[in-house]
Amino acid sequence: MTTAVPHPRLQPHFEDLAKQAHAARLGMWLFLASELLLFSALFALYASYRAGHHDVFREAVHHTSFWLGAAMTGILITSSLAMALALHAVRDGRPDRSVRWLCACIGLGALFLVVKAFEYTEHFREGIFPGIYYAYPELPHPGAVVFFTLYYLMTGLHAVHVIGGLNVLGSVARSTGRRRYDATYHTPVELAGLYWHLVDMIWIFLWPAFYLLR
Amino acid sequence: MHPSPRSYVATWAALMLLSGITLALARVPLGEPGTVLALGLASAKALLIAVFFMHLIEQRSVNALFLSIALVLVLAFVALSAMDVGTRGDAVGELPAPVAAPEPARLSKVR
Repeated sequence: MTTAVPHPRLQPHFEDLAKQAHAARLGMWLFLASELLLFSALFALYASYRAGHHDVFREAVHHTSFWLGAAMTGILITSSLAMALALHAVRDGRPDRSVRWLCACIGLGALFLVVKAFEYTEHFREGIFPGIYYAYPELPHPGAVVFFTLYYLMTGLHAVHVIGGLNVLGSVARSTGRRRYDATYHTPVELAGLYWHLVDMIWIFLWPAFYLLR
Repeated sequence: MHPSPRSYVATWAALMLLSGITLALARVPLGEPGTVLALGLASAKALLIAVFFMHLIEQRSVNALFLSIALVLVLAFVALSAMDVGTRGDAVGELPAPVAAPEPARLSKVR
């Protein structure tokens, strides 16, 4: 048995760093699974109401912005690429490069939120509000109210997740810049990455539901 | 052991391509097959993200197991809910008609 000094980041209840990293990753996957189930409740609502108001839902999709939706999808996919490259850089022992990619990821996430805010503002201007405040003269059917209430609920919850993700990424970027992570230990960067990719994944299903299935 | 930057960029390109295909198909009136196709494309993209960006390809399979179980549960939840409602043969419950110029509703019944 080696009597080498244990890695400074190794917690005493773990045999080695690899097992510790695996435990952290598995815990994160468990959390991601629970987030998926959270959104699944909302997707089930969407599917149920779509089954009941099929034609109105199809019509309502025409009233969300086709191109803004496409732009947001492209923005998030590219931010995921930046995140993957940031993790790769820190694994390679290049924290400065990692910070640059993390900042790119954060920038793209912020851009996503800006586009979303613009989109919401346009909807408000037309009178599309959630629930009882809905006042859109072009589509007065009750099914449309449900569609747009679900739209605000699901894209809003997703946006909250994006905001949380940006906070986490910012803190990870700060720590990476301060050299707290290196090629041997970079678990927080990896876990932040897993969360961010999940946010992208959820959007990939929100996108057809509210922008494409016309 | 782990993917190179080139494989990340390749994954990104595949994701953008699949998104482009999804976009193009959305312009074509396809009806029900269109919905299945869009969901299939979305699932393919999600798989790419999980396997390459989230590194499932290099991680232990128990991580993939957690994700797979969650996906099975999501699928069951969504499919069964939709089937329940979709086969009722009547309106999905009465929805109140929207008002054109809404008064702010009384949000509390407390006097």
